[in-house]
Amino acid sequence: MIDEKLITSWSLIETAEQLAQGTVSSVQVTEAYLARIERLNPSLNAFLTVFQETALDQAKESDNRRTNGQVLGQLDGIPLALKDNISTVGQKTTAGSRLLENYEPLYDATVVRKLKAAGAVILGKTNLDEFAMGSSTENSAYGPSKNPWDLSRVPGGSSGGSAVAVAANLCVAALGSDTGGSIRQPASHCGVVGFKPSYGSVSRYGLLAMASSLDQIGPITKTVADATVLWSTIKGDDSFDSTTLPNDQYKSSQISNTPDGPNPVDLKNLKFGVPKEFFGEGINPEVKNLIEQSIEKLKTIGADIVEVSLPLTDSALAVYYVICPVEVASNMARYDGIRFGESLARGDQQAKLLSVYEVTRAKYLGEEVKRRIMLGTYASSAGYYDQYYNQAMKVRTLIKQEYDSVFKQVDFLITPTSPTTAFKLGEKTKDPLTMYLADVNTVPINIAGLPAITIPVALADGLPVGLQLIGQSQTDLNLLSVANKFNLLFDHLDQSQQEMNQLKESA
Amino acid sequence: MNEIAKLSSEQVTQVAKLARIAISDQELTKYTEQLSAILNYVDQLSAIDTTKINSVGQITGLTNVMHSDQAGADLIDSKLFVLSAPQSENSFLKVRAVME
Repeated sequence: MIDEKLITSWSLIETAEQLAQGTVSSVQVTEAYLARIERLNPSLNAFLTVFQETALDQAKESDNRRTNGQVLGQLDGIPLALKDNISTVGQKTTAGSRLLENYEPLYDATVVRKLKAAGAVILGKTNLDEFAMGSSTENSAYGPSKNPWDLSRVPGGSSGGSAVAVAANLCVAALGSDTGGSIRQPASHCGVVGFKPSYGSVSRYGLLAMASSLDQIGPITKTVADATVLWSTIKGDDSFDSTTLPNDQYKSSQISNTPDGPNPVDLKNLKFGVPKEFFGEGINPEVKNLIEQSIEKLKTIGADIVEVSLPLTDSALAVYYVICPVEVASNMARYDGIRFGESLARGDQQAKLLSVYEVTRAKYLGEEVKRRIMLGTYASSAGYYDQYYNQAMKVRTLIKQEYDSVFKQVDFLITPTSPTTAFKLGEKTKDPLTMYLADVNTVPINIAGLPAITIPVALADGLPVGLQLIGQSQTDLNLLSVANKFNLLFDHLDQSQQEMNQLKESA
Repeated sequence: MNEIAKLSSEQVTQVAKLARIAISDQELTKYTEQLSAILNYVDQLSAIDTTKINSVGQITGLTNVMHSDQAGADLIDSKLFVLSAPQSENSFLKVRAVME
């Protein structure tokens, strides 16, 4: 009988190997994760909904396929978690909001359809800042998730629940969504891998839209190799999302992901840039120090690293806080209490139409959501559209051009993922702007539509520090190959992972 | 630089109306302050020269992605759709009177 702790410590690739060898069944793996969720979720609040029955059904079906020699692939029988803004047919999808407290979508998101077709087991839906608006999960209507490294601290956001679930071994891997850093920042704060693919790489159909020109779904995993497997399964063009890129447009990988594959990664042929603007005045000195040390370590394995400059970096956050609210205002208009979700109309028979709209939205939406809707309404209204939204879109073009220019000098960029480690619960909730500044290193990447990945590299006072690797648009394959090489270099977080596990057992 | 963007409470009341969100007097004060601060922050963009630059709605470069106009299988169960709406009658969604 294999130890539950051992089973839940495996990466996706390790789990797939153990299933293939017959050491464990998918039912055993799923039961191990469900037991661990039951024990630890009350103190971590990573999961909003656990699909106890359907997960075991899916696991049984997987085991049957395996017995009949009909394994669907690496993901067959692997238990995953999904951020709760990704639609799962007939199963609660709340977006972390009271407005969708009882909402069950009538369709699966494309990524869910693909995962199910690959035989994955869906364990449940994870916590998030309401409608993905936030950087700490404190905006969830269902309470914040807790950072497993220190329960008095935030896990980051908005995909906080998914990051916690992976970090605390409550799932093999998870999906999150990233509009301004919502995969990468929590992954960095929780000491796991988080990958935001190129905009257009993964279909947004079924993702409850936040900012349509910025949103991307991506994997949060224990290793980069795991992220590659998940991304390969969920990516692809989709007739349901006309912003998805044609499949043949990707720069095919010149670099293999495995040491003995064709063209293994040779860092000596690659040039890396470190943009000085990502080490701005808000950066924690210990984080700066550890990232610089990590960069020195990369040099020892042959990486050619130079300093570069991206002068528009500071403006990128301002661009984001115009474009994002405007698109949010548009996307949130559908929550009008008419077609789905909670509504004044469900209880009050006298209320007039305008009240149905105004009171439903006032009552069931949280503060940050309302703030962004109003900001976006203002910035796109007559008389202000040119000054704010149109100008922001033009600066977006300039920012994209700046990245195009820097990627002529270097192949990839290296930055700290976040200027700080995980902050305390309640530390940044008083002033919205303070919270917004937490995203300064991740937001420019969404503006330019680039792929970026965070890998855990060090601990600062016992809290994880992430290193961000950024590529030119559609170089996801090469980015993952290089990140994999880096990931293998910085594996000394494992031991601390064990200590963290012990901490959580006593929680 | 530019003068500090400061919203009046009348403006915020109007914005809330456009956004179809009811706000209390306390919220009006709070949001006026917070929105003013955020707009003040983003005002830095007006200093950037964008005279010859095109605005772009998304950065994939894709335009006019088409598919043939052919009906496929139903993707959503219309009965369930009607049932899950806040108010419905037979196969129709029910809304309050739009016009008096």
